[in-house]
Amino acid sequence: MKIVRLFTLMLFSFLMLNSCLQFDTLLTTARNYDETNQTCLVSSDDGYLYRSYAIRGATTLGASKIEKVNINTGVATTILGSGNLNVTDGIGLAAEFKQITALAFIPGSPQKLLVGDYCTLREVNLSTLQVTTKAGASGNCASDTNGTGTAARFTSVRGLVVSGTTLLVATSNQIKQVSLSTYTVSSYIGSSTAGDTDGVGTGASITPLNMTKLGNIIYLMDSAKKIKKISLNDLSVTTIVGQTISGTTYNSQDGVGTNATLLFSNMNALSSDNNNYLYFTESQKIRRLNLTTYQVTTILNSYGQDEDIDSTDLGLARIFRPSGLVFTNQGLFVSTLYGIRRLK
Amino acid sequence: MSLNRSYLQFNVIKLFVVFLFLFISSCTPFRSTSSITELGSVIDQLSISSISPSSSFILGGTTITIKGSGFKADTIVTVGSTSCSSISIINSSELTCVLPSVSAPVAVDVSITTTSGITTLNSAVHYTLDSFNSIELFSGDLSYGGSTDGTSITAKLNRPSKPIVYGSDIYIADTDNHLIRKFDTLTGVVTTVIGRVAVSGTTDGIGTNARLNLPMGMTLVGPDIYFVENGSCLIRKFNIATYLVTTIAGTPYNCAGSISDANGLSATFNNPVSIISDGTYLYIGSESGEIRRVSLSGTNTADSLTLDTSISAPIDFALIGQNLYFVEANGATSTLRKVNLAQTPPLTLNTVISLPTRSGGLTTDGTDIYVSGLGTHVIKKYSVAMSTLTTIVGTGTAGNTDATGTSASVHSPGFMDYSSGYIYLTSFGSHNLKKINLANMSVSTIMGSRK
Repeated sequence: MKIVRLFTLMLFSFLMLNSCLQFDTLLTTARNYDETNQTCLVSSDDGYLYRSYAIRGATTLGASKIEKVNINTGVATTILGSGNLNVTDGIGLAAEFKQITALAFIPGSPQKLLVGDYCTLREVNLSTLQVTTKAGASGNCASDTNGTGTAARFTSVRGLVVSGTTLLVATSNQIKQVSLSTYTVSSYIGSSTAGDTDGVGTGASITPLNMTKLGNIIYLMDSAKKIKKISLNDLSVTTIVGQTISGTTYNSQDGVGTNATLLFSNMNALSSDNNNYLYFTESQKIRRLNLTTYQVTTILNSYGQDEDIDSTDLGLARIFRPSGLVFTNQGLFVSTLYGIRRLK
Repeated sequence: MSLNRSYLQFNVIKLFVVFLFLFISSCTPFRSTSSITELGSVIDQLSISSISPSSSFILGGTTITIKGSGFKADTIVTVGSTSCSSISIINSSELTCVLPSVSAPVAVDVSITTTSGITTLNSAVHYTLDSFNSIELFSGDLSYGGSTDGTSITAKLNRPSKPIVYGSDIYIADTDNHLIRKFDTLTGVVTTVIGRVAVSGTTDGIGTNARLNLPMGMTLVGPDIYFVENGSCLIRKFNIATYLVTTIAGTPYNCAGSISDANGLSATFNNPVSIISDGTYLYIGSESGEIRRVSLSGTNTADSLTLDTSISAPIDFALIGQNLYFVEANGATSTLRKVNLAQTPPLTLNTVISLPTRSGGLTTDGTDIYVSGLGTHVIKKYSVAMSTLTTIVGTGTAGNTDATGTSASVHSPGFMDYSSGYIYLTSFGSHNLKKINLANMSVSTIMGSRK
């Protein structure tokens, strides 16, 4: 029966990409529609963008390929992933990814790409295109477990940021810290269960969707429809934007701090301008948070118009399901199902 | 003497006017200074009164509108030390041009030069890292769908499924938009008749007040179109005259791999994809590998068609008399199967012919059966009389080229509907609706993306 379901799923995979928006629901089913929509985007120090994506209309689901995009020309070359959904180490297009949910670079190391893949942490040597699983195990995603390397467990890898010699990994309900030398995983932020309570370190409860770092602060996109600020100095977790909204009613109003409302899904991402703004995607919007005033401003709104329209007037422009996003001095790059668009 | 006095008075007055003019010019607020070479004409006075927008991302590319006076055809606009490109003179008091890029955030002067002189507005444009004014495709493919209503050319679909021809209108299950669209073939106008784009739901109601969740298969029964929703696992219908949407069977979102037989709204369906009717029952292709059946009368009792052999997923149907044909997907193979609905259950499952991998939609003209090759990008005809399978449309490579027969290309062809010598076909890959003339196999895109 499972084979039947799989084949039917394959056959109609094009059609079924947004029926579910709840991350936790998706994890329990074979139909991770929304996660197949997820594309991740990261920029390297040496002038490239790296984008993970799923093959549209293929016989498999999930973001399983990575392309390298020249940030000056836009020329894209797929360099990693066979398209088969497995966590299998290998080289280049022979390597296999199951469901890429996060990409990151270690600052100053443009040849080492870190990949959150399903519930594993993997590393790509971009010189050789060798893909190596460093922590977690794809066959065991039931809980977050501290340990070293592949003996550790992640429920998922939803966000990656590097802080010095430590990699921070956002899972379903925690932020783990991982030594980049030994790949030893230990608890850092968030209790063992998902929740929405400000606090300090593991005394707080969170439900991460993604995160980014600016200075000594982690900005956490939380599925509680909030943005939380985490101080790397004292590990305090503080809600700065958004409010609890029950139900699934569309609610995405600009405003200041907790007066603003957010509509996140697992396919959203955020990126800072290394100064005063945080840009983030929602299901059909690109929004900006002023990190001084906490004013949330929508800069591109496609609500109700599910398509892509390029324009020199952002009021007229539309974007089709933005997900990955990265700010550079070449513009704000936004990854969608079909490629990369640039705001400038 | 009188003449000299008059002459002197005239010159004094003239001088006064010139000074007055210069004074006014220098004191006029919000106007830039300018070199005046034609003092005799206020109309030709070169000035800049406003620039909008006055900020841009450092990469430029922003079209700015400059207002002022004295603009001429030979106007040159300089932003910082670089020319503003694509200058368009609207009239003598308004022009537009496209900002150049700069390397870092900075405030720059804007100057306008004409044969009459030059005028400058200081720090007029602020280049920043936080002010976006445009969006463009950077890498990838823009040839995808959308939800725009409009004409047959400008309207867009988003992974459309079943088309149903009804008179001169064609109704389309616009799956990924959660909509039902109507294409009026007489006027060429496309409208959203049911649902709200990108907002899924299960609410019954009239027209755009109703909410749908991934509508796919549809079938016409009298004045109603019945349809299945893959996302909500409901069987629903809408009335063509009123657009009233009514759920007739299924439990919302109860799609978790199990099915139950019961009266309409108590029954469950496992991710239905297709539907057809013989006027008494609805037959529904469900991913659980069964053909579900819903009575069109009473409480819409639901059960499964009893076959003598279990089947894999039935993808789509065609009905010729009492023979129900369907594509069965089983792993890497697709097979055209047939059961005779007139038989006493259990119905005998017949293998008609093997199909290319990932075959999908079916339709019939009453004599032959047409099969879409979702994975092979072709349309095949199965001759019931000859038991032969022939490619009639498609090169075998994904494309979107209108032409004839195997010279035409289609991209992931899906559901079809036959009407009066034509097959109407939706393409998942190119988000459009095509028409195939069965007389000469000419293929034409009649609605949606031409890319």
